[in-house]
Amino acid sequence: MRFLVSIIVCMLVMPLTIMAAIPEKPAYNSYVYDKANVISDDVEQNLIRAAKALEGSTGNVIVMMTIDTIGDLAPYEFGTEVIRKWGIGDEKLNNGMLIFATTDQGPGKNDVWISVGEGLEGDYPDGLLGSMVDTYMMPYLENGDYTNAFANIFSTFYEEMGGDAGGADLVKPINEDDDWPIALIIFIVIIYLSLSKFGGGGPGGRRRAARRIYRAGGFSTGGFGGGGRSSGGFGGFGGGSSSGGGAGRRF
Amino acid sequence: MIKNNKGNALVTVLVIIAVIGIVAMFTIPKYNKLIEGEEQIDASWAQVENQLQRRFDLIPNLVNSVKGYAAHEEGIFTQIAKARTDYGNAGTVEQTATANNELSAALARLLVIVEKYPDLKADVQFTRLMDELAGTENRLAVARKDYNETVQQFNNNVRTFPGNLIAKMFGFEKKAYFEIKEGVEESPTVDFGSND
Repeated sequence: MRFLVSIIVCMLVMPLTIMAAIPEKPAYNSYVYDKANVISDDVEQNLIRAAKALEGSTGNVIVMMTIDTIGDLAPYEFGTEVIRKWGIGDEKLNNGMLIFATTDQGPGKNDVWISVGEGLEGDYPDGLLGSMVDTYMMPYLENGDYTNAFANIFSTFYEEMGGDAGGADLVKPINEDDDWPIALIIFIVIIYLSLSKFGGGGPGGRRRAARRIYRAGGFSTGGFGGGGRSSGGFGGFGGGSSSGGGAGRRF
Repeated sequence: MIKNNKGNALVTVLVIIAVIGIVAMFTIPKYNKLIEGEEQIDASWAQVENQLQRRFDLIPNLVNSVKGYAAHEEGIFTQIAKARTDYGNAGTVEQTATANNELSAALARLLVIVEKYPDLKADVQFTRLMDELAGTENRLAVARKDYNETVQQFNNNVRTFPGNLIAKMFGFEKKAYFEIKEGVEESPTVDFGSND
């Protein structure tokens, strides 16, 4: 009996071992954590700036991550734990979102998942998130195109949440009703992205240049100073939590 | 003499007050901690019930959409209906946990049956329902884990010294964990790639 109890207790203490697989909380929220390095650098910089602008204008915090593997964790556990441990979103509003995809779990076994805090559950119920993953991410992820998968899903959220970049055209709006062939859309996205602000500089210098701009707060149109956010300011982790909401697929 | 007696009485009173004070100093924080623990348990249990309710509400929709494609699989619909009624009647944590296991088992069976109907699996509405169901199962798992962690902390407090004395004094009792029946998948695994 005592043995049984101790086994049960061990199972209950399991979360401690789960924590080990969760990436450490970064000191500073840079919105995109391309740990697997599969998102093209220019797009990554655009995503970072747009995510920052989105937080500034709507308060919603979207963090994107690519990672080799999430180990034995279920995608929802990984997503929920990262949101909780990092504190993505506002402490009271719980308006954080984590979009992540794995790269090295083998074909058909990779996970793509969107986890949301409770504050976003109303606007984005799991059923909707699942179909958004199907529509905006899966067509690209199946071809190993993480860049466009993240660019597309983020653009959609950005549009829907009413992100305001103070006039700067940060992300290309994607029109669902268009019957354009996907190849054409990809082509346009690529053209658009290569023409976007960070286009200058050689391929080697690009990343660094973009970083510098980002660090220097290159996007300081000043349109979002007095937002109703309580603490931390932009780029901080607000202490948001999640109760396990979200949806995803395997690819 | 009289004066001396008075002095003694005063000392006694002071000592008593001091003892009470010291006891209170140790007791009150612990007592408050136990109360706080109970509140936390109530709150996390409410979260579990929310998710159970959510699942409970989702099931009729799910059953209806499956019925559209597989009306003749009556056995499973009866099983789900029964599990659902049991859940509705459950009062205690244990009863709720049992009814929940029953419901999980029925849903797991339903998902196996669904595999036989490719048309159903391709149905957009059904896909959404399944995402909702999977999401509810996930939330339930999270809520249950949170609840169990709170209970564990509380029970530790109730069982270790000096909490155990205070718990006994004020009638705090160990709380029940929300346990998963062994052998039953903790939740039906809802998993389908976009290709099927």
